[in-house]
Amino acid sequence: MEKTENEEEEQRKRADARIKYLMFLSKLSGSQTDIEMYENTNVRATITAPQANSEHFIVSNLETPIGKVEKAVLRSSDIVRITVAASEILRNKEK
Amino acid sequence: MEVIIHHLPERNSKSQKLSKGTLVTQDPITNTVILAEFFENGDEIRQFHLIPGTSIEKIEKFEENQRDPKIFDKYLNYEENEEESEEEVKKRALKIVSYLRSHHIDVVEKSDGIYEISGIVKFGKPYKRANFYCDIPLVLQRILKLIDQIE
Repeated sequence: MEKTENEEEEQRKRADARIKYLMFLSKLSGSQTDIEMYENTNVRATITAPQANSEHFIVSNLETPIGKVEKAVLRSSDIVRITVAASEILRNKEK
Repeated sequence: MEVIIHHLPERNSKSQKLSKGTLVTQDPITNTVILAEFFENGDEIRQFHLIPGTSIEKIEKFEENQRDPKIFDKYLNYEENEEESEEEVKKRALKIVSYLRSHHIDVVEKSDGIYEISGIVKFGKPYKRANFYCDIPLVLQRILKLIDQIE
């Protein structure tokens, strides 16, 4: 079945979007972030690595309202938003 | 493009959380959104927000703006495919294949110009560093280290 030009263009856009997303994830590793979670829970942590399918984030130095955890795994489904300073991303870009 | 993300409402919350920013990208697989928030002067990015797809109820277009998309590339090392001849692209591929094979690393050419290294790392056009893919980060890192040594 031949792909139409529109389908190929759509596929190219999806691929570009995916690549940008994966590049952002690679720059996120090593960044200190503010993480807003459900039930009004706000934590700070250094992102060590996201899981390949983005279902979990491995973090270190997790600062929670009840204490600090050296290493933890956070489920994406528990996260509302992760905020990272642009300067952190630029710093990781140099690596 | 400026967007407003409506987050899924929480059970015990009366108000719905919103995130506002310039859309950098949305992952087509997980629907995760990356937003950029600019400083007041509008020239520099202050921070990024990563919003998992599971947290999003709705994405609303806020306004179309004229931001240069290349401003994000600066942060992501993302390069658009430059105009290169097929010959130059093929030459680069052959250089990489030849180098890897000289290091006794098995490289097989698949369809559509994709090459497979030892059955686990793939690289495709235009055969630059960003075009290498592997599910195992450590293996990918080692292959890229080798590739970086090619002049």
